[in-house]
Amino acid sequence: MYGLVNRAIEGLIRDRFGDDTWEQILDEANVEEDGFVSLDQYPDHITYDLVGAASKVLDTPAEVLLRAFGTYWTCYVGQQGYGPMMSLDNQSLGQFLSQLDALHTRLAIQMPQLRPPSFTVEHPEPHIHIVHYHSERQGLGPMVVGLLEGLLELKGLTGDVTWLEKKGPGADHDIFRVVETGPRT
Amino acid sequence: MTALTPQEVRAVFPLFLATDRTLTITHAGPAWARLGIAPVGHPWASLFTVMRPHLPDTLPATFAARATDPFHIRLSGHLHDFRGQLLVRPEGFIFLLTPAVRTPHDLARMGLGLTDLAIHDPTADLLVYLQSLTTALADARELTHRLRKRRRELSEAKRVAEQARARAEEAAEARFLFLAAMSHEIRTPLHGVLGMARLLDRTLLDSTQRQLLTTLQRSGGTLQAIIDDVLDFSRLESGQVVLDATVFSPVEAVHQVRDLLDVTARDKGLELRVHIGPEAHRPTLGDPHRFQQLLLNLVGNALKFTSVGHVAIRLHRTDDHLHCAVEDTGIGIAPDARAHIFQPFIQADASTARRYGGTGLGLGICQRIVDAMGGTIRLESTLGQGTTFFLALPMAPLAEPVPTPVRAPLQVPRTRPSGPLRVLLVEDNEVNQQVGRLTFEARGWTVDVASNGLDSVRMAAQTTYDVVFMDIQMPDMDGYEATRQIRASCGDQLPIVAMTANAMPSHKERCLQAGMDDFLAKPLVPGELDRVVAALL
Repeated sequence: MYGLVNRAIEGLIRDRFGDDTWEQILDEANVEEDGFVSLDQYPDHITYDLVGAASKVLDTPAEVLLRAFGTYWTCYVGQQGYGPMMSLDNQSLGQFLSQLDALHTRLAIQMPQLRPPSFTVEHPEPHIHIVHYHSERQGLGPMVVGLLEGLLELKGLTGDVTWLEKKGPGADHDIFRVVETGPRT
Repeated sequence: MTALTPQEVRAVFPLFLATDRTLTITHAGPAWARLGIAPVGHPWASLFTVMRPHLPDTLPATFAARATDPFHIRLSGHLHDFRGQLLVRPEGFIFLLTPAVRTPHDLARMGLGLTDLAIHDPTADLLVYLQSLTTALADARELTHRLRKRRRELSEAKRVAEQARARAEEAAEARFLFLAAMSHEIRTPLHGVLGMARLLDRTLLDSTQRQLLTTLQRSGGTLQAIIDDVLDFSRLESGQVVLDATVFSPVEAVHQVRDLLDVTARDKGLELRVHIGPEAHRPTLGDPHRFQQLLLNLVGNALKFTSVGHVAIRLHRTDDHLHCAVEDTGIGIAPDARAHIFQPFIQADASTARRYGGTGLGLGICQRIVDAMGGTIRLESTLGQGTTFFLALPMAPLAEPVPTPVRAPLQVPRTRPSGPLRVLLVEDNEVNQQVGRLTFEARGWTVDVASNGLDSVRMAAQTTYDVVFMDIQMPDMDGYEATRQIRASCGDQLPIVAMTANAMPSHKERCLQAGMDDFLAKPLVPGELDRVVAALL
């Protein structure tokens, strides 16, 4: 996993729970890194260990943390400078979701070890989007729920995200439904 | 090859413009709408300015003549720049354009995103790459900032630790000085008490009186041992102990300890055993006195807490460590007491202290000596069955046995006087004057007494003495200065022996530096006086 993800986890914990909690989580996870480098490649287990340790230290289920992380991630990558390139402001949510896969393709060209997820999106109705999420990594579905909720928030929309189908026996990927219900007041 | 359909052209070149032969725009790519303009129907020159190449005019023929050049054009009134190329077609011109941007922010400023660029356009990849560099630079700044912060914190922590260490050292030094002063103040009267008791022992006493005197002497001896322990522990705590590094035989040290304590063992009906491993016979480099002190403490303890059975000393070595085990068949140590048995003033429990006495400093001293040597000490014990202490000391064996160096005589050889000795006792304490006088007279010596350093200098100049016994702390002139002045006036032939309650090794060293020949600590240990005089004369 690229350090960008671990830095975002660090940012979420430091922002919401303080520096001491982050130090505790590093200790609990037995991670000795003093700072992650965004474009460096780290073993996946470090990310999973950090989430596990955060779950233990904060006494919160990992799924809840991953969902919060997904929401945080949308803001975080925007702040890191990738936001303007994604041009979220000038597009509808549907348009943006349709281009998620192309964006990840471009990122994968620049970051050969990224192993990014793949997205296909259907729009059965103008404000309903079905997102198919393909990833070789396990257990990140809750993060996608948070990510989609974060995008609704960034677009100033209210809505619902439903995890329609979970990857497992008989399903090779996760499927989510995003329903825009109106502007956020 | 077939021509592209209009839809394909729109997909492949989101920012294309097509004009007729008069340069009026007839078609435009979808991305122009995202820039907020609708160029179709406008004359090309009303919306755009050619920045490069230089064109003298905007006539179609002029454009057609530069069809092979790259074009740099600007959207008038917006400062949005584009680059691309011009195709000349029979029906007019086609401009294939892409934003001319240097950073992702340039693209965002135009209101465009990566998806507004043609899929084949490497500008998008370049922008992602540039963003990666920006991220890396931001990381470097942030991590450098974090490093600086850590360095400041570390520096501050070091400063605080240094202050704490200095305060601790000052406190330890102050405590040591206090204890040294107290030691002197206690030793001085104790010298009188024990000296008088020894003199009393030489008189005719009935059995009850002798029993009382024995108790008095034993109590005085215990008090002296306690003072020695407290002072030694304090020195170890304050880091004032510098270990010797001399060649010695560990086996010889073990046998000396056995010889010293064998009587005590036999008095209690215990067997004191010694087991030496074959490889332990080689000499080693270390501090023989501290090594012996460790053994004396451990074996002394073992004898104290054992009433039946044996005490054994086992010595063996590995390549770089000397190992010594002191095993007893005594009362043992309860598991919960083992954790703090090496702490000062701690014994296994209060009843132990009441029953067996002692300060509880012996093992604390052992721990600190072992620490100073860089070794380890641990114990195994079974309550009611006995205890074994294990020492592991980093003392490598020497390749070949090295003879113990012979100490050079302290002074030039002197001629022993034929008649009774005439000695000068320099002592300001009246009780100790009396003890000294009677002790010396009991040996048939003639004794003069000087009550301070000044008198001693004067008397030594007027009378020929065989030995001077010099106290140190005295009013008017101390023993160091008196010695220097006596040496200046009488030369090096006159033996001067310090006899002082300042019993620290550093005091002894200072006495020798001042010109004294030997050193006797108060209270006097029986036999030491005769040993020192015999060595000098």
